[in-house]
Amino acid sequence: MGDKVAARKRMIEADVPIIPGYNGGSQSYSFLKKQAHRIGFPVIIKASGGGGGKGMRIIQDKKEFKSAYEAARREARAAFGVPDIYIEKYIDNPRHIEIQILGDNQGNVVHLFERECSIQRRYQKIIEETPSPFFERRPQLRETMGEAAINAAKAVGYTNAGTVEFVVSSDGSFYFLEMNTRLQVEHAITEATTGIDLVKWQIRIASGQPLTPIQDKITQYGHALEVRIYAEDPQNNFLPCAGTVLEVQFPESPGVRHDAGFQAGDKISTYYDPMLAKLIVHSESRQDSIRKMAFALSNYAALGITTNVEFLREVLAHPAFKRGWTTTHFIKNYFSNWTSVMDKAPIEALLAAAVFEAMENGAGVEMNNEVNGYTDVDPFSPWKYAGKWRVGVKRILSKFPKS
Amino acid sequence: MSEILFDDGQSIRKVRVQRQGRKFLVKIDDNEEDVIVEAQRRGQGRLQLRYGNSPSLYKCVLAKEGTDRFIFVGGRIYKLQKVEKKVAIKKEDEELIDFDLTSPMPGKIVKILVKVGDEVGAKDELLIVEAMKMENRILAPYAGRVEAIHFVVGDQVRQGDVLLDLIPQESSETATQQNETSNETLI
Repeated sequence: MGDKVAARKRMIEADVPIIPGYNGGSQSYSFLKKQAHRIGFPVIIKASGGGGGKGMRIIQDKKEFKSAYEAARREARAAFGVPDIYIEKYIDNPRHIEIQILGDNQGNVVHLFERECSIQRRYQKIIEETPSPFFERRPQLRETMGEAAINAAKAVGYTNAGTVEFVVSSDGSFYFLEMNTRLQVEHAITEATTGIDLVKWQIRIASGQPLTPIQDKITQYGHALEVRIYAEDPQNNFLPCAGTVLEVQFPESPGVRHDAGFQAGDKISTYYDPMLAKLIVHSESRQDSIRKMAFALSNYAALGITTNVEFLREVLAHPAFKRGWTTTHFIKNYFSNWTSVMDKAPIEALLAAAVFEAMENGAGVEMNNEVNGYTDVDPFSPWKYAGKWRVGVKRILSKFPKS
Repeated sequence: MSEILFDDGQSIRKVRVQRQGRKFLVKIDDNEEDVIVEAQRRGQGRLQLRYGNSPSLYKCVLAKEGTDRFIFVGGRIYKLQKVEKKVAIKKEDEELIDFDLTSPMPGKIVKILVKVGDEVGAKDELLIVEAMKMENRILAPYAGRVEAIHFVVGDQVRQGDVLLDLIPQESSETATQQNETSNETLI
């Protein structure tokens, strides 16, 4: 299933809807150009050998075909060793919605609902969530897509945890994109909402044990959201940024999971993928998840390097994101010329820098090495203005209307 | 009383700090009044402070690298540069013009779309650097004439390597002279 061209053939046989395109394997320039005309512009070129957005090109009109064809083949060769590409219809305002599945050696396959991963830059995901806001008014579509994902997995006799990726058009029609035969970066949001440990099941399946969760018993609770923290510059086309992490601040609170691969003192090089960490929150509703994530990000800092933290905060705060108008064009539509609003340093920053300097110079510095309890750096927290409010006092709680 | 100068990217801020018992008296720029600051170290790079009559407790994370100072407070990171007095004065009359285009990251030149002598418009594609298996287009930051190209297709480049020289259109006469001197400093 790693080869996208072969995967499409199997899906056609299993009646899983696929996007109109050419997947015959010919790499001839003039032949592919004719295919592009047959499918009708806009079309998209993709690498047969792999994902991650590498070797991918959208072509709006026939004049752009030559340069896109050449660039896609160069990138495909560099990334995957083979320059092979294929071509398909490009869908406007698409959403990227994928279904998590588990398959065992006994032939059982279950799905663990969807993940919407439409918020992307450079064709790579930066924000993922489940349930998808697109399904809020379309519960039937969620079931249909879950079944399609199971059919896709059964068609290839798939075992292990896997993901069936679909592109969903605004009218609700959906097409198979590719199957990821591995645990994905964003698997944690599925674990949070279903309570099922995917890694544990990978190991159990590999050791030959049958799946015990049955489809009707798998449910979702609440909503989970993930953001990927990257060492990159959103103001400069999301180019990776190298540097040394001097100091860090990470959020800690219930319902927040931080999977990080870095700490203070680490050198971030541009020779590897610039993803630093993933931050996952789980709440009762989508609205609560967005709030919780916004708060977690306001307590997140990696000093000394450029990251996308501020950019992520602004995406979460955007009205279009809050309304769930999430398509893969979201960043291009709403954040194409985004710049950080770098105000003049506020007085507290200047004061901190000045006092820090004076302390470093040593004149009678008192050191207090107590680090515990240092998880909140928010001077605007409503708890600071809570006044007479106290947690757990009946007199105050009884003022709430009884439901 | 020690005086420190910080460049906040927009202007030079002058700060004077004086320790008084457990408190600090801080004078910012040429303000009349001192700000009274109560501050406590809370471990490596961590500071907690209150100032003036503000009811808020500010929890700050700080770090330094060379003359750079990073301060995380109120959910944002601010970068200040500690500057020497002489430099601060000099900076105000000096106008820096950058004529070179440098590679944003280590990578390989896969395509060069211009040649020496070409006139290009702002945002025109100049060349393509491949890094981390992605192609990155290097665009002209301003309209101008290509004066020199320092690499050929297939060359590996390091981050910060000067890829080509581009003379801005409007000031091409004075620019030529200044560009010679700027090249010397680069070598």
